[in-house]
Amino acid sequence: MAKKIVLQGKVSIDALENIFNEIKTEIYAEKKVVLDCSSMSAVDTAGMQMFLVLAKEAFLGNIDLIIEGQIAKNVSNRMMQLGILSSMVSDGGTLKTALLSFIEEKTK
Amino acid sequence: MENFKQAFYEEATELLEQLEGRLLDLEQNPTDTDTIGAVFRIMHTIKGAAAMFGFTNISKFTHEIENVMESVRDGKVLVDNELITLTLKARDNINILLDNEEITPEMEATGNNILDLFRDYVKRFTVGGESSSSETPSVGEVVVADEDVMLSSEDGDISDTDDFNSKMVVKFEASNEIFLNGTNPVLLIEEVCDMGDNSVDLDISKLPSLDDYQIELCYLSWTIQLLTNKTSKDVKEVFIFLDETSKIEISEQKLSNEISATEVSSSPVVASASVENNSPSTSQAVVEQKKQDTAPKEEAKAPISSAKPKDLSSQTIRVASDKLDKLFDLVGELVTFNARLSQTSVELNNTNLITLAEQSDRLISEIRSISMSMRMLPIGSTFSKFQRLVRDLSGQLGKSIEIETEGADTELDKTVIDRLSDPLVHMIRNSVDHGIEMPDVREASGKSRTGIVKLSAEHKGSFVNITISDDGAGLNKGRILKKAVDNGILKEEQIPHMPDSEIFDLIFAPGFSTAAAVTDVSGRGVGMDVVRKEISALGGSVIIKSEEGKGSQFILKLPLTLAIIEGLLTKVGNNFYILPLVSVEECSMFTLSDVEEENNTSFLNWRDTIVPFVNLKDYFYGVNENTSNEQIVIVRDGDKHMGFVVDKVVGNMQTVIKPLGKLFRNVEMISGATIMGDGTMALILDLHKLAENISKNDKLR
Repeated sequence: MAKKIVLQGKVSIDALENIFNEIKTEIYAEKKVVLDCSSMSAVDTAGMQMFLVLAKEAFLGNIDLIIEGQIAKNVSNRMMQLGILSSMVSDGGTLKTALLSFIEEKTK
Repeated sequence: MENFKQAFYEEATELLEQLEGRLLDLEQNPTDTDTIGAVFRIMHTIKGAAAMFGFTNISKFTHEIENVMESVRDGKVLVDNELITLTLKARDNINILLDNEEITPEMEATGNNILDLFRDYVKRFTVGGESSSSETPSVGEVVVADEDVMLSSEDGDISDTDDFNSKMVVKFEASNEIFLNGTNPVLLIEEVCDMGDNSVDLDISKLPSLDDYQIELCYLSWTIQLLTNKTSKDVKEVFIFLDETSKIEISEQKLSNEISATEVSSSPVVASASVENNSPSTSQAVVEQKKQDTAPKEEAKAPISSAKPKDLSSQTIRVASDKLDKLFDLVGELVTFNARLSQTSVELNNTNLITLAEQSDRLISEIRSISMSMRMLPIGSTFSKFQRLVRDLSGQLGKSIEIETEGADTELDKTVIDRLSDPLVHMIRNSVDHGIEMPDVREASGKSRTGIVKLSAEHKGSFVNITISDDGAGLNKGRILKKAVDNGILKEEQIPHMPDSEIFDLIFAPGFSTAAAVTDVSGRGVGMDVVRKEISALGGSVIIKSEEGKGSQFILKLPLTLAIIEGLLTKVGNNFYILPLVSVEECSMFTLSDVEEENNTSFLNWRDTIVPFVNLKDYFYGVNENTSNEQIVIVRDGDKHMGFVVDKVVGNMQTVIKPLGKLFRNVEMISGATIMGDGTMALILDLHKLAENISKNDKLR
């Protein structure tokens, strides 16, 4: 069973290396990654880009992406600002759906 | 990343200096729209850059002040003395935030207090009476670009009115390495979005697969459609600190369907980014409309856009001052080496070698002159600091004082300018505190109520004269003499026949102050002492002129540079000594019959002036060998002349000043050393200290 990766605090370029190594380990082992965003307070551009890479892989069917937990307003707001989301999301499931829709629209 | 932060620090420091000057200008002309615009732009640039480099405290604070300045620019808030004072305080606070990465609760409280004062001001002075939330600056209400909290339409900061001047398309293609530079593109995008109604379109076409993805690289680019009242210049300023490989293209269309500008930003150059390559967006219709309208102008502008940044970048280049110092050290070594080459060529009597040495000498002189000019800075930046000082001090003392400056373009060596600041502060404080009288006193003596402190600078040969003058009360000779006697600096019997210049010189004595009370401003008697020491250390001198009731003049005579000087090489005994050529008035011969003695001091009649002199061989080595003909070098120290008897005047020499080692730090009469062509060392005499020491020891003979 895939380990749940808990994203804590700000998911930014400084913290990304450890997080991404953990994610890659899970993906190589399970082809699946479970991200718990309930403790994630903020995200920078590099962090959002990682979400997009994972969402693209999920859209292409290469991995199984599960996003769990409440999504902080800051995170949702910032993703809107960056043009990823068109409306605010509050939970991980909705975020995943929105990310996949975004990828789908962009790869049409 | 540290390099970029350093670049921000330097840029922000410069901007804050400009801001101070602009605010003081604005105080004189409160309705000058250019100055108001400049103040706003400076705040805006600092805010944007601070947010970009993660200085969120600065960004937050500056944003709120920027809001007020925007209202001033829009004519909603009026400028008066109180607003200038508040903004100057805000400027100081930004400076503090810039200097301290860790913000203490006290600093935070100070910042909040300033913002409260702004809020209060805006409330009271909004044009048209009490401010309403939709019309007034949102000081305190706007939540700004915290790393975690952003400005957005949800925060109510994006205007929902349709009253926009222009429509812009901003294409931002981040370089791969943008994260490595410490830039978070989302902050830039937020700032652009903050300028009006917007729609952001993210292009992920370059996003790699999971296997190829490198977390530290950026693969994204954005197209922002913006309805705004800002200009393309304002938008461009958001990206001012962007690395050169990121690309920005800004197209602007006036909403009257007249295209005002289509331009490519300065450093990031984009040649052929076209609108139709954008990924689909909800506002594609708008984009296409713009494309049709702007196409001819885009084509016309293309060659200009690629040429303009090149022109700008070739005009100036920012170089770290330590690199210049290193360059100058090497030039110094080159000068020394060349002296050796010249000497060797003469010793060998080889014509070819002599020609080569002469050519090399010419080239090195040119290199020296160019590298010296690179270290020269206009003194204006130092002067502008004092406008603020005078403004604050006069307010504190209840005096009305204006500061005038002249010769701000006069250039001086960077080191001299850096070290000049403190002495000037002391002297200006003295002029403001002791010199200029209270307005009532001035009026009673027939002067205007407003006093004038004047700072001027001008080149005089290899020196720069900096004059601090005031039209105040002038120095009170009686009080100076009394104080000097009371403090044991002077004996009563020395007072008769004492020239004015010597009386004025007494104020440089340690602990001397005629001020009745010690104030925050001056009166502790340390100021002028420090001034004399610092100016002497710079190889300069201070001359005082004063007339009671009319005012005073303090003239600082400073060398242009401290690194390489023209020196007069002399020989005393078996050693070589250098006298700074700028102080040398004449070299001449005299016989014993020309000498007069009085009070154990030797004098010479030089061009109808009685000049005291000292035999350096006697003074340094205790050897007194009077010969029939003596060689003497007459020098000037301030407004006095003095003679030094030497064994031989060798000639002039480009002198690269080398500091003395730690062991010799306390040798006051020697200011440094230099290496001559044959490797021999020559000591550089500090003529002022030498004269002072000789007088003290009563050794003049």
